[in-house]
Amino acid sequence: MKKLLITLSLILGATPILAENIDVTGTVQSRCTVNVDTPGMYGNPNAYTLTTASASSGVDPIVRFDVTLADAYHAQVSYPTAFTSSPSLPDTVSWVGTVAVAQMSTSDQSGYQAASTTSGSMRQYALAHAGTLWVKATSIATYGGGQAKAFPGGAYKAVVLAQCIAQ
Amino acid sequence: MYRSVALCLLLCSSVLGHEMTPTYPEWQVSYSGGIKKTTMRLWNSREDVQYYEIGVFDDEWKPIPFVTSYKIMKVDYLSQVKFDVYIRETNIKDARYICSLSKLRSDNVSKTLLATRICSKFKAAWEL
Amino acid sequence: MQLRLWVLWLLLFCSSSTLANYIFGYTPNAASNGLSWGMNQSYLGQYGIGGMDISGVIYTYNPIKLLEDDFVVTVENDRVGGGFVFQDTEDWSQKYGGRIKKVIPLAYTPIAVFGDGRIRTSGIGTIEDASVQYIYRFDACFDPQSDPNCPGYVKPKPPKLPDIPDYDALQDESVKIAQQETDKDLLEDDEKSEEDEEEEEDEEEMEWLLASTENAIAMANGIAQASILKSMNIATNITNYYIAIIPDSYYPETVALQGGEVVDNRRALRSLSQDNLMNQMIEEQYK
Repeated sequence: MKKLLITLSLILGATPILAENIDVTGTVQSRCTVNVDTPGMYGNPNAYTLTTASASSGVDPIVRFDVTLADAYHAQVSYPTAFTSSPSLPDTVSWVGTVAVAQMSTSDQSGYQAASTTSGSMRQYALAHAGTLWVKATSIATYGGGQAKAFPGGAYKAVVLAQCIAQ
Repeated sequence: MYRSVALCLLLCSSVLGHEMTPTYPEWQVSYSGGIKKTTMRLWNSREDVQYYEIGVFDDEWKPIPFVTSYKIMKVDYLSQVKFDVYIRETNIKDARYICSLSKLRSDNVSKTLLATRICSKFKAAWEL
Repeated sequence: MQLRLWVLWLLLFCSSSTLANYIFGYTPNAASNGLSWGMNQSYLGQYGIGGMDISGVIYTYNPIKLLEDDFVVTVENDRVGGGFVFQDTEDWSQKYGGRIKKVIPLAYTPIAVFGDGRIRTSGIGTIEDASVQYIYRFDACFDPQSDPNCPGYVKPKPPKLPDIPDYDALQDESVKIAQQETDKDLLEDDEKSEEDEEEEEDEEEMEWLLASTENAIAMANGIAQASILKSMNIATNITNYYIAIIPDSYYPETVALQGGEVVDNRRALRSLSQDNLMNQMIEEQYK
């Protein structure tokens, strides 16, 4: 038994311990990330209307802005004012839309909507606080210039532009 | 605390995002006289986007001539790209924003597409 | 000796790491039935038992308030033994309302540490659409006996066999009764009554057979007749009756009143009074 214990301690003592320090580096810096929370979808409640309203089987697009530094960025979201791809449309298409804050990660952001500014279809928010902001856009397209003409059959695509501009 | 909150949100939810840093890049000396460069990092977590277009603009959003390896660069899903942007020294005082814009593809479903653009800013001398 | 050394070597340096069998996920909304909840299965779902470690809280709500009102909302969980596991406050005073969504990261904390949770408000305002979800990992082997593959599982002992008393068939009263001699008279009577019953049944069956045979003929005749009638009806073409034109002729009126006026018949007037008398006589029987 004694010999066994001595042998054991020798084994333990003789074993080399291999170790190495590996550095993991990174930096924390101001950043703005624009995410697609919900991609939108047009519903077709009648022949002359395309809308993202949920009551008409559409889906409102939602963008998420993550910022890590206060007062570093403006968030700008624009609802569509033209189709990027569609069948040939000889008549006029009228566009209506809204942009509004849907959700926030801190109560300090509750004043963003009231303090936002608009320029045409674009609404700008000054991201005065770090955190996450969800912005929802709605879009309605009507064909025929008030005469309710039916949209030709085919695929329609319009773009919501979400921008994060450094202040 | 907010950074950890933001990070957790990124990890905890389905992420379809786009990010470009640094927020305030600076011009550096390049290999050639009369040319300055800056290095940007672009991260893509949008599965539906593989290409981003780079642009340099002045205060009034007019384009400024510049050179990168690719003006429309391919950035795979969940990967990042570092790229250098070169401009003439004479344009530096006008260059205000450097932006990356997602390039979207079409398919057969009627939907709204979400284009994302992130712009970093070159601070003017009076802002430094 | 050498063998013992090798065994020791293996025991010391071949460490076996037991990897816990974790299930990761989110609980259902703990605030679905009110603004306070307990940390148990009825609020947290099937994994809301020992073995759940919570690593974060995701909450969202929509405060309804006026800009000028003071309103403070706190989301918190008690800690068993005193204090709070976490407490997160949002001060909406002098601010607009607006839907909020926050994530509170925690180190993996066993559910046993958590007391009741709640959303507490103070000031003027209400909250709606509240949702509180816990991010968790669940150790399926927290109770080793839950799965034979869990480390520490002890195979349960087999159940104790019931005591079966000794049984002597020769002492059983039922066996003794069964061994008694059978009364043959009873058997014969039974057999006779069974024979009678069988004969009656046979007769009845014969009657049924004969009846059904006769009925079969009648039924067959009826069926044959019906089919003949049907075929006759099909053959009959009654279209002609619909389109037939019945010739007719005009019979002019021959009786004509030759001028003058029609006067009352005085004789009829006399009979009217007689009729009246008749009616009175009939009515008399009802008085």
